[in-house]
Amino acid sequence: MSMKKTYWKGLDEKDQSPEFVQNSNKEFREDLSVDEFIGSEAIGDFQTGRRDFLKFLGFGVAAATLASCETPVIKSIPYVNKPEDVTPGVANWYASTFYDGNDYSNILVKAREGRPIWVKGNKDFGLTKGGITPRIGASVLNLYNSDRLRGPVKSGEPSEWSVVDAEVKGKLKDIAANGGKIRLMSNTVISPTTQKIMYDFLDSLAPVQRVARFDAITGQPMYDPETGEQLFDGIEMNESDVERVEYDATSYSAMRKANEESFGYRSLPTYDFSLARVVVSIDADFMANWLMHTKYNVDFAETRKPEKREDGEQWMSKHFHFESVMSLTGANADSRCPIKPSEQGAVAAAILKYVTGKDLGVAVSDEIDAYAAKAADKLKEHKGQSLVVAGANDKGIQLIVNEINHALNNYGTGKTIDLNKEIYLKNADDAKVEELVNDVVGGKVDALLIVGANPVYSLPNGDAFGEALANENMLSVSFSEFADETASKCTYICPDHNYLESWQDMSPSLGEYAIQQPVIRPLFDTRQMQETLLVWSGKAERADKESKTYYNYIREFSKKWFFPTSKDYSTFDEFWNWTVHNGSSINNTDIWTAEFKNPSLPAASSLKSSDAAWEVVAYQKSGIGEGQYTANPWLQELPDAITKVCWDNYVTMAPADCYDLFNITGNEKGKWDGLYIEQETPVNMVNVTVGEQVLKLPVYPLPGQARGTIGVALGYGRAENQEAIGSAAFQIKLDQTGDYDLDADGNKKPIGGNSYKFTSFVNGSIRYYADADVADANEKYFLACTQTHHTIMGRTSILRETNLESIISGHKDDYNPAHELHVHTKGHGEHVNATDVSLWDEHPVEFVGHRWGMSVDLTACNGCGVCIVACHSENNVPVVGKDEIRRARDLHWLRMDRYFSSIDDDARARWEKDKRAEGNDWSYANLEVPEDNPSVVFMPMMCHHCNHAPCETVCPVAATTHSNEGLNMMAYNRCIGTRYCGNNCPYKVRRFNWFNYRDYRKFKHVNNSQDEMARMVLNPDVTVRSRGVMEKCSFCVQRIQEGKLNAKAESRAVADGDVVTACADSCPNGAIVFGDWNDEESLVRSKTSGDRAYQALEEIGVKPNLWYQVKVRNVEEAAELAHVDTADEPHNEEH
Amino acid sequence: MKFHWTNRLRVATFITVLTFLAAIPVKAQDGKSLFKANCASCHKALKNSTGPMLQGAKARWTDAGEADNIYKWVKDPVGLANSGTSPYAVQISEYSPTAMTAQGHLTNEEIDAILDYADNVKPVAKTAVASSDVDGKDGQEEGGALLWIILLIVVFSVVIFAARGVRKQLAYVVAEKEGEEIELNKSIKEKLGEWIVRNWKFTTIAFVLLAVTGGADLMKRGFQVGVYADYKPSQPINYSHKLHAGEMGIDCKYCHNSAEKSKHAGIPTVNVCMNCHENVVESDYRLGSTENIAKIHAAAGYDSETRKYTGNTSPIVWNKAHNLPDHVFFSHAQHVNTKTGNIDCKQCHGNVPTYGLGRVSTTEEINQLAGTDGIIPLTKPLLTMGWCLECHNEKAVDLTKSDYYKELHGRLKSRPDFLRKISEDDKITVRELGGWECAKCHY
Repeated sequence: MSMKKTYWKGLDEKDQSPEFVQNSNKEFREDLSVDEFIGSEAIGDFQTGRRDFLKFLGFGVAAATLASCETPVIKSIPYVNKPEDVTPGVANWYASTFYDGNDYSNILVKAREGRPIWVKGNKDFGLTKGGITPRIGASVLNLYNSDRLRGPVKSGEPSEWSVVDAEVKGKLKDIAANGGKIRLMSNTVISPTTQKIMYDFLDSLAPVQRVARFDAITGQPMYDPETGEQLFDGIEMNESDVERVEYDATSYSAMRKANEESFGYRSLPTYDFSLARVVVSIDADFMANWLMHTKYNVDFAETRKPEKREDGEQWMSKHFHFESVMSLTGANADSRCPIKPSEQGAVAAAILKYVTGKDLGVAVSDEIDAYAAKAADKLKEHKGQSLVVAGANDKGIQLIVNEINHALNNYGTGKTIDLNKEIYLKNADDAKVEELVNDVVGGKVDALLIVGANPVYSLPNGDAFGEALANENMLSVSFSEFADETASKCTYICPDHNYLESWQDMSPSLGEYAIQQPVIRPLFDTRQMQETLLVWSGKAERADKESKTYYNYIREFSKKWFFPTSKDYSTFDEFWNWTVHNGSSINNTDIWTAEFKNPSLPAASSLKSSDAAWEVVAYQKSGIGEGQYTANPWLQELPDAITKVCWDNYVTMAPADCYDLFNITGNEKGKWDGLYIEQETPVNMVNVTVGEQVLKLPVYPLPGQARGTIGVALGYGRAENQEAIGSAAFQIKLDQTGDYDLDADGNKKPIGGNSYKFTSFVNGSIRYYADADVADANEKYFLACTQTHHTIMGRTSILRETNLESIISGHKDDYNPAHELHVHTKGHGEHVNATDVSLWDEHPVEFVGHRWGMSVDLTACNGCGVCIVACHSENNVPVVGKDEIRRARDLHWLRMDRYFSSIDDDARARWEKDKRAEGNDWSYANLEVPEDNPSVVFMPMMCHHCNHAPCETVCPVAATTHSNEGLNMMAYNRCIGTRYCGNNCPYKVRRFNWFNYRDYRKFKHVNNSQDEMARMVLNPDVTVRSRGVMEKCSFCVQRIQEGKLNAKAESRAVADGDVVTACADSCPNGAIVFGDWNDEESLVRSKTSGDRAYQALEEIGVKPNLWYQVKVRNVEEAAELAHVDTADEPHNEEH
Repeated sequence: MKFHWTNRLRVATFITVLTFLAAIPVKAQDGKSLFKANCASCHKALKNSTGPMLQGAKARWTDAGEADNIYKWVKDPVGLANSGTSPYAVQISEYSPTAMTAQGHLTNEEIDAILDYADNVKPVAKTAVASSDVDGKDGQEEGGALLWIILLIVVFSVVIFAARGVRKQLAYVVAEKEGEEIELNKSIKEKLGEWIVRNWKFTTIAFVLLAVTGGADLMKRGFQVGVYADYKPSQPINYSHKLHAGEMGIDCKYCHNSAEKSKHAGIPTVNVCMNCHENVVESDYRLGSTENIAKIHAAAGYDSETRKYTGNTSPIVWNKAHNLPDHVFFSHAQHVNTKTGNIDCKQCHGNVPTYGLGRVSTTEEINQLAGTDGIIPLTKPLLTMGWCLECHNEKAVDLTKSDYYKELHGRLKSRPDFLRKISEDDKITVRELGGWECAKCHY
């Protein structure tokens, strides 16, 4: 069998569908769908006859002439009192912390003239070490969402704080006096001060019996170190009428419960992935969504470095992954096994069996068994240095996982799981949530205050909850920033500040103390939730925007609680100032030893997998997550890491299931329909039914999806009742009008459907999968998918991958040989290195001044997409919306190519044969069935800044030229838009700016620069390009210029870190390294001269300033190189 | 000779009068300048300020019976108050918590001159409107010229039409008399056509001339589009650089203080103005100066009577004089900072200490300064790309000035061929280091 790997970005590329072939032969897929355009009803709006055209032309000339006569007067308004730290034109950086109930991250915020414009991870301080997600990167745009509430709301009408304060306070008092039920529902609060304020607030309403706080470590009651007072931990839950309930939309309740049974304490431990040599994940997407993924992602990247380490060792972790829908983590796994969601218990049991010998008697398929055995073998090899994690919110599975980890000796200080250092995220108890929800729906609650959560949207029975909320007999108060699904049903909305406007303290884990500091003055008449509660509990007076009430509260609390345990500071001011400056500090913590209590494991019957034909998984995407930011256009425009679909929700389904469901057989035309996603090729829609709930969604055939399962992302279907959560939250018509797509009733259609409706409370915890029915809806739907856009025909040498073994014991020439070209000199042929042959003289960049270079490590890159958002935000890249993306007119300067790969030919043929065979059981063990379980490579692709740039030579107006620092420069004002450069670019990274995105009506609801609020996020150092010019990655030339200037002003040479592009700056895993290649000390220089460094398409001789590092997997078999000697390749003849 | 004596008398009278006349202004002028130099920062002539109002000061001392002590007071106020000999000195030293600065260098005559000047200052009528700047080119009346031209065109066309009508009538009359037949039914178009054919030489020449001059003019105008040289927008405050930067010698970077750190030189924020104008409340620098200062106070929310801030601020909306297109990135820090370009402000802004309102200089003006402070003469209009490039082509970079450039120099040395090429003319210019590359300014 041939072992040649083939790479394909989508099924259409793999199968070479006619449309794909046609499109990829064109450099631009700009064809307007003329039929649709002419057929459009809106055509009447813009009919332009010849005479009109001439009139416009004449007027245009006249107007242009007139306009040029007058000198426009530009106003300039300096500060009255300039803040001391602000210098106009110079950015300020503030350390802060991001926490929204789902993601936690220590961040740095860049502000220009008092406006936050860019967010990155804090690599120097804090738990998360620079780890962020696209959601956090794009969070700065949420601040400027013009649908944010601008003041308090009462019964849907704008109100005054004084009115709301008086009324709510009075009503609460009355309810409390009459013994009514008052509930404060919030997502997990990790702010110690907020917790105290919440308890104090509830205390102020009703005298309640309180429970003494006991030290988790010693079991003794705790006392205030300063006053000596005994401490109480809140409220006796059962006796009282006043309660606080925490609710997480994506819950880890079962995991806490399992830990309680295993170790006697309802906690979540600290996981240290950086110590793990083997990681087995059962549906835990720890790189993008699972628990404190921002930290795990960075830690895990530490273990994925194939080079020799400082201690002389050379190793890489081995990563096994079991899951249904291909997640970011699964795509990066060394070994990935597709399973049904109901098989998770069986997988855990199988691993337990192989690790400990304990057989729970759960039936499991042979294929899964084989995978589990392999994983268990590796785990046993690395006892104490391994880690098993499970994503299921299911106590039984978590108990088994605990048992496995215990057997593997993974618990303990300095080991992969530190129980003693508990984390405080995701504290919800689903049983209590269920009880509360039942109480609310049953009309038993008299007052409900909702903080941070959006239960009407995210509860399984959100609609019923919403109806109960709208009942006027209950006092309902929301603290939401938006009148969202939940808030709009509440009588009072007391809008909270955005996180960039707030002070906050946080304790994400034991001993970690972090501060969130405001970066901008509150934009609207909002008030921080904590201050509102203080006012209502009579502990503070209502203050204005500049209120320091809560700030002082945090300070006092910090002085009392955290400063005394601080290791590094002697005075409180010092402690405080440095904590604010760094964003966090570490305190002393006691160490205890958890005892494993050997809890009884679940019965086999509870782990049995489902027999249903279809199972649906409600999963989180790395861009949209839980759905708080569905209306953020940057996140919608970000192609999904795996499917590369933008602006949409869809059902992921195994391609083989698609063939069956839609009767796609043979090589007929029908086969292409619905499988391949192209501009003019819609996909099929299906109805997914779970119990009473039905969602109609388009189908995306996702290679690697477990058969018999479908995935529907959470976070879509927001604002079904037209709630104002942002203009980009709704579907836009696929025409030039840019209007909302309205349904029959004239309502705006939400994007996708709400898959929280598929979740359910099972045994006291929320389950995120269910048995389902799937039926063809006999409808078609257009998806905007970038997966085959900008395809580089036949140039698969662009990717190189190998395995760890080759890196350790092999030679560079085996896995990363130089490209050789066949040249004919004086009548005989010889092979020379491709880099030695050139049409042109060398461009004088070496050793002259700077030479900016970049190295991208394909091993470290996990495709998360943070860089894309960072680039979007740094470089004012316009948002173009779904219709334009469908036409391959996305403007991302940096794209993340996702390649599936499979072993070619033989396996494919066999698969085709198998598929037709009757009674085929779709063997998972057969790894290399192309779309059944492909492996994945992510490749960030941006301008390569070629020293022999093909784009430069063809520009008729010299708008793109080369600098002596190695940059391929783009002068927009010179560009006349011939697009020759885009034609000539071998990497297809040049983008044509098709429209006036700032004004054209098509983009009115999606493009943030058409919104007077949202345009405040634009970076003033980068031109907002106009229509008709080419644009592309500039290597963040504005940052290069700034870095050089800083070095000059300080009279020193440019060093590493002075100049960092936005993508490199934000990459959590350090996959992108940028610097001065001419500086022999620089990191980029040493990276690019390493054994793994290669240049994409080196053989075509464009001499890029961008190097890739060969992708290394920890697998047994090395992939054969796509092709080494390009001289033999047919496509080479074109050149 | 007849008028000899009278002439003498006249000369004598003339000289006397002249001396007399001259003596008064000289003395008054001295008093004024002495006042300005020594007292004005605390005292006003007509108003209490940091120090009490000076008008009538002499009289007040005299009334107190200590006419002579005024000199001692001015020269050593603390000494006099502590000497126990002057009750009035003790009384007035309680005027403000700030003790008066001793002015020991003044002579009694000079003190007299100052006090005389103060006594003679007349209140300025408040109705005076802030009028034109000292160099008299305040604002731009672009609309005016255009209006005149249109008016003239209208008048001339009326005259021409009238004359034509009269001529036509006369022609009819003549024709009628001579019995010629008039082709009344010919349209103007046809007539014009005939006329053109008749005078084809003239019309061709006229057409070519018109096309050439028109085209040339259009091109010339085209090149002026977006050129800001000599641009001086009106401003909400009639600020004078001549006074502040010129006469008072305040450094440019005192007010434009971000020039060394940021891309923007910065329009001074109101609190910078208030560093001086908290005390400098009035000025007779020119008509309307006090009103202009009052505008600063209004912006800062400052009550000059009570000398307190009300907190009621309103920012000043200036009109930007130096405008670059949006796609141009220009950094003052890169050019002005001593460790980077170290270029004198004059190179691009001209002799600002002679200007009133902020304005864009002209190439000619700047070239007059050439040779001083390293100013390079240039030819292109200001703020055009050609002008930038011209300078980048001329300006030499000192590669020894900092470690940044030393490192650069070191790298260049490893490519001697390249280094030799660029240093052929004994200097390495900005251009030779990449200063002409697009992405240095456009991104």
